[in-house]
Amino acid sequence: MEETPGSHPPGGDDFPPGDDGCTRRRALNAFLASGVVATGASVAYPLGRFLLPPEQAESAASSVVAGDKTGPFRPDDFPVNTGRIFKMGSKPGILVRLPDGEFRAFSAACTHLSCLVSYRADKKVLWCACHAGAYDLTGRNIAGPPPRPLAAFTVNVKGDEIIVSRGS
Amino acid sequence: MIARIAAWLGERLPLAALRELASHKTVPQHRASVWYYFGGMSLFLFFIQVVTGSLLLLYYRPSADHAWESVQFIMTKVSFGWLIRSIHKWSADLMILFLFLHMFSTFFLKAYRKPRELTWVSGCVLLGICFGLGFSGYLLPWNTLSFFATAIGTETPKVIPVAGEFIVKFLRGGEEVTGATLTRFFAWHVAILPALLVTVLGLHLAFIQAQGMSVPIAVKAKPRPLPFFPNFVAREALAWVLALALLASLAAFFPAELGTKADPFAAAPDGLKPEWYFLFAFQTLKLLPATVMGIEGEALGVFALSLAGLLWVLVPFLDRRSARGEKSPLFTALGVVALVFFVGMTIYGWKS
Amino acid sequence: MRAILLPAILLLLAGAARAGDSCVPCHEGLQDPRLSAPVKASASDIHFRRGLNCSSCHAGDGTASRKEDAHSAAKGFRVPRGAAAVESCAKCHSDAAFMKNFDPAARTDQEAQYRGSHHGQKLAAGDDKAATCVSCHGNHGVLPVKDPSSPVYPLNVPATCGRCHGSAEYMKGRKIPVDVLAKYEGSVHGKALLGRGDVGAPACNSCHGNHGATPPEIASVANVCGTCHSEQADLFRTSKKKANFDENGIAECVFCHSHHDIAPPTDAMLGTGEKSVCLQCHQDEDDAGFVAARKWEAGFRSLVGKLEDATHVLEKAERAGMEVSDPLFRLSEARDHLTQARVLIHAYDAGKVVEKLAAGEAVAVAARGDGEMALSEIDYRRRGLYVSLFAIGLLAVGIWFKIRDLDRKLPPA
Repeated sequence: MEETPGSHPPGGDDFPPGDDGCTRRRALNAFLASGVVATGASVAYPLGRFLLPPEQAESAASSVVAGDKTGPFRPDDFPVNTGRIFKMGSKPGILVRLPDGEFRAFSAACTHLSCLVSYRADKKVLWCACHAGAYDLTGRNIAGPPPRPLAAFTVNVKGDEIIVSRGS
Repeated sequence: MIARIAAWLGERLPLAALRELASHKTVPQHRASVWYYFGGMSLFLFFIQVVTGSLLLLYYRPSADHAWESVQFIMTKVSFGWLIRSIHKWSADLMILFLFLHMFSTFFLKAYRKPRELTWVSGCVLLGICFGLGFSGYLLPWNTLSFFATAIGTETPKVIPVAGEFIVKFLRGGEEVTGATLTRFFAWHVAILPALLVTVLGLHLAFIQAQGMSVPIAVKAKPRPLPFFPNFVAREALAWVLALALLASLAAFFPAELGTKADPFAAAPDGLKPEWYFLFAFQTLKLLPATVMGIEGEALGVFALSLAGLLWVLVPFLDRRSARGEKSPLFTALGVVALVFFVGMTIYGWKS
Repeated sequence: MRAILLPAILLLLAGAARAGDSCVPCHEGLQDPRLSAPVKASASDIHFRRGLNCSSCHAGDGTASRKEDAHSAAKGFRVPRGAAAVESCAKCHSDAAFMKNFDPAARTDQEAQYRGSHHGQKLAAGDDKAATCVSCHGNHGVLPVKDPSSPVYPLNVPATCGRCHGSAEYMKGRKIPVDVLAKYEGSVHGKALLGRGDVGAPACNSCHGNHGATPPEIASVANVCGTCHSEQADLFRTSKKKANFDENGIAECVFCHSHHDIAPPTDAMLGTGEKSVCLQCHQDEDDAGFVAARKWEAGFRSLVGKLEDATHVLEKAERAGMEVSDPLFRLSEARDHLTQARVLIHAYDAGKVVEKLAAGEAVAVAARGDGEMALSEIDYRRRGLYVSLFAIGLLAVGIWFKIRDLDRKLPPA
């Protein structure tokens, strides 16, 4: 259009002046308005949804509420002398309840070949079934091929939630 | 109803004067006037950045412990969080792209010539601020790639004599890239640089308003004026709407990636690359030999690129011929060299 | 009494060495490297650093200034080789009271173990090529076992044993194979130890013993492997196969897994294919073992297939930009079930294996379902995009016509 300034679109002059031109213009404005509304709606909808607080109110970071796909673990439903795997960020963790009721948490990836460790109630150790690696309940490697201790996490019980955090 | 509100406002604000101003503002129409739309397009994308960036602030947490997790939270748990973040990322890329198109078109049309030298300089400053926004924003998700790319990027000033060490320390907020760097980059990204940008943008627009649009030297006949409002604005709006469609499509088909959380103690991954608009500089420094004529190659490269950048900013003052309204083939040739170098090095860096 | 006397002698010797040891200045300057090298190597020697000197092993007179006096046969000068070397080392290393002066936890049973080993027995029978202490530990420049440069540091053990047991020339005329080193290097253990540097992986001595080196007997193989693979060994010991193997004199683990060239186990070792180890006994198609082997292999194939399938779907969703770290995480649980099922094979109890496989499959199927949901979420996004593109398109067309309409009102050029 820029190349032929001022030229009217083909057929532009054929529109009779007067009422018909006015009707056409009114139809155009209505069409334009509907476009504005539709676009506005398709922008406003995701924006509005974004502003609404999500179900889980904040992002978890260095601490997580220990739980699995059935939901968070409850201190009352966690038998002593057992251990359960939970998700610590993107890595597996294991939460153990000692016979005296204390909770302890460790990385659950064996330091040998990253198999999942489990809690052996009979021997009171963290046990890796792949090559019989064993760790004591402070995470120290005590038997089998594991070269390093398991990373230990801090456990806090808050109400009916068990919160596991990295670091001391 | 609308008329009554307008009348009410009119009694309190100089609406009539504004309307008068708008009705007289025109844009020249000629075969190169398509390039007038690129600055406005960059402005629109900046607006998108402000909106999406503000929205991301609702959930983002600027600390080494939380940044990655909060971005993951945005991408997975927040409704349409993926859309907002993806649009923010794509809009940033497109904004830089349109800024480049805007800058090179301005260069080749010699629109920087007298009396628009300051408009050009302020535009160059705006591009620099946008580079800063891109560089600081890249680190914020705190993923492996951005962490190591930032470590390399902030290492570069080390070759500057005397002040190098200090600049690196200033950029990083310490000796290494750490959580302190993240906090610092966050402040630059959401407060300092946007504030600077808005200020300089105000100047840039004020210059344009005061001087009107530049008509290329080659256009001899007096161009036909197109009313700024509503004709030019309607055209610009059409371009903006199409840009919005493009952004939505890019976000839906190529959402922004998150990657793995940065581990400062891990080994740097292979094939680290900066954002595409830094590739030309990255590749140039990479290609330089370790020493050139007894000087450290990288230092020489940083010096040469800085000098070239400075000359680029000062072009309106160097180009005497176009200032007199004459054709200036030398500077056109220099522009072609700069463009070929930029595009060539970017593609080379991309492929290698 | 001896406990007090020996250190006293030792200190005297050490003092003498410092005061006027004539071996070192003389041997240092000798042209023949065979005679100068021992002196040079002694600088890093643990014995020298603890105060011993040349005459501790070689006797003679270390204070004499003339070679004839220093090497005087009357003073017992000798170059201990073979049995004499063992005796020379054992003089101190078998003396618990003496060794306590250096390491309270030092063991002193090495000589006794050695005498019972194949090496020791061969030596006693007059075989002068049999290994003695110095064959493995070196003589001059002996390093502590924990020193990574020591020839008996775990990473160096295979090469040290291989010097003799990998050399066809050295072992000429003996019945034992010389391909053991090459086989070991290609084995899962060799790759772990030598490739990855995992010092937890077994070297030669982990199975054969070191000072008491002897090949494990058929009956004890399972115990040897079981020191690390205890879960598998426990399961096997309590299985019905145990009695079966014992009756027929079959070496337990080795029968299916071989020994020096143990390859990482595969599911193809089950079943009825070429690589099947079950078919070594269960060859008849109506044999219960044959049927079970086929059924188990199918079970493992099914779980592996489902795992691959789920991984594929999840990775596809991940590539499309979906966040699926959660189901990907749970997939590692399914992989664990697979590993555990593979361990459970050693119990020869179909029920346990099938149960474990089913648990793994359930997790894999659920994770795949999450992947499918993520993929359908992509469809939702695409549909949303098309709806909004339609709206934006409507607006664009509207503006397009508006521009034409506005331009029509412009004054002609």
